[in-house]
Amino acid sequence: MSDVIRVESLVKVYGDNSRVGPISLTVKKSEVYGLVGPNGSGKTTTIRAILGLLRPTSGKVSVLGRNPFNNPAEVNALIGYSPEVPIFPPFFSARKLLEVNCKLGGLSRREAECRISEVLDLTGLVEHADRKIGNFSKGMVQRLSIGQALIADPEILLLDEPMLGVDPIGRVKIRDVVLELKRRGKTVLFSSHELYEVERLSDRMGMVYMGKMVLEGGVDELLSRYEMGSRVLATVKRDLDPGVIDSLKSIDGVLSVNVEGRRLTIGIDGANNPSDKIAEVLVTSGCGLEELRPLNPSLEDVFVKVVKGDVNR
Amino acid sequence: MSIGRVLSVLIEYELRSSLARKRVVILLATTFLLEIGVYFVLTRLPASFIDSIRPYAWVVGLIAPSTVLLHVLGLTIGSSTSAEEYETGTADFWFTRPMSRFEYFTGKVIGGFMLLVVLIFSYSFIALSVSWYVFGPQQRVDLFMNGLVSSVFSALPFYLMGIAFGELIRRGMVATIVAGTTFFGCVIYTSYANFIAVINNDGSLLDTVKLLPTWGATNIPISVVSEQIDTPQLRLFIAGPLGISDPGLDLSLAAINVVAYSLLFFSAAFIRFRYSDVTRRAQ
Repeated sequence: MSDVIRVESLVKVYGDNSRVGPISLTVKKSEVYGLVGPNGSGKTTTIRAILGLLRPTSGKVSVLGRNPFNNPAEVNALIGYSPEVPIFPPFFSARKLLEVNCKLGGLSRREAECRISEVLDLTGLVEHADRKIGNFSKGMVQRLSIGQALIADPEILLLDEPMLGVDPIGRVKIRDVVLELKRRGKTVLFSSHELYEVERLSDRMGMVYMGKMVLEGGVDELLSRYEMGSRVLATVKRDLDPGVIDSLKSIDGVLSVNVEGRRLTIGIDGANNPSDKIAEVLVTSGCGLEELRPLNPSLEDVFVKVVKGDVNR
Repeated sequence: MSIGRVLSVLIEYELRSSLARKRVVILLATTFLLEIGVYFVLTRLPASFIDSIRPYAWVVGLIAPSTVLLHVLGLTIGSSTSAEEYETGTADFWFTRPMSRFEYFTGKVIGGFMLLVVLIFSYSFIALSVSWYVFGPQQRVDLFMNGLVSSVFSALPFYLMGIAFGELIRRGMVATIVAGTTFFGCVIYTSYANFIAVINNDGSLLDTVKLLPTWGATNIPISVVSEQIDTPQLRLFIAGPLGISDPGLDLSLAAINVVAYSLLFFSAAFIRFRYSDVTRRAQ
């Protein structure tokens, strides 16, 4: 697959001498790429450099071989962008905003009418199409933002924190939109600080931390590359005595016991699986063992390990 | 993407945004009140003075604003036109549309200028109507279009200065203050130079006045219209109080002054705009 977006050693130094980078990433054609990291880690800087809104202090950014800062018109014709905090002219209605996008995107009037209906339907804004954006709720603006990014049917979608401030139903809708785009072969780069979303939606991902890319690769590959050790989750009916926890800790092969109410996350030695002994201790303690099952490592575990420097990169 | 399509979108946006922010209404009300004020003052002058102006009262309403008001309007509109997208946070929206920076910049500049032209037309026609109504039939109305065109032309330097400061500072209010200070600084310097020239009989300072952006911008409309009408009271009433009028104006030099400053401010604004980051909403 060819590279659609290439960011090579991007460094941005701002006026106050705060620095982001070096960040490198590649997004290939038709893949969903998740850019994760805590707030202020450099995700938005990377996205803004890809859009040509920022000039890199050093490094190179290209979108299908074009420099976005020098050729914003060409690059923006390929990209649909939804910002982290979307702000649109408040006196525009949703329909007017989409019309402007269609006009600038070179769509004919007939095409525009068709696309506007589709997008309003997709974003659930049909009934609010003629209301001024200034009167929209945050979630509605976020949905409109996704809609305007899609309106001209661009090849590449850049979604900066698309789930931010969206209610659970809206999140499902946005997730469905991303999955639909993936099915249609579009290239999607989205940023989030919610690893769960990235794990669910992305083919590949990059982790940014303290202004640097600390990890990049396929989601499955990363989960398997970083051996997290095995864990089991136990759920019990009654509160546990401290003595039971001590008994669990003393089992050969148990590395850690973390108690959250009536849920226990127990780190174990994968080579010497002590699950039977754990079950035995919990059953005989009379706490009413409800469930005992292996727990798969998550991206959150990988992320925490990476930023703590617990694993070799 | 055709430049015409971009321009039409941006010009429409600029006018709509001005209407939505009630800016046009406030500016129109201000100019209307000022026009009414000018004519009110005119009616209070002694008959011996007013009689010579009476047939040309329309000139006062058309040209008097070009001494100060027109340029204040221009720099106010200019600075808010360029800075408001950064301040309101809509810059990201516009700069991620499929258009070049030049297309965007030109569209914004023309859109803001259209607003200024609307204001010039408004007060000019108010002037003509009020003059006819209050002072009776007007003469040399054939010069009306010349006055209108010269006002539009002379509005360019301070409008573009507003654009340039708006782009450099990216804060509308601060840019307006800086551009306004520059304008009034030039006016005060011109008055001072004229004063010195009179009391010392030394015109050397007046040569430096020709280098100021106010020289062409404030004098061209006066020269184009009132020079054609042989009524000294007219010039005195329009620009006399400020002492900024240049009776022997070389029109082509003044036009060069206007064009040179316009190009300078346009270039400064565009270079800053083209080669700097798009800043996020000012917090």
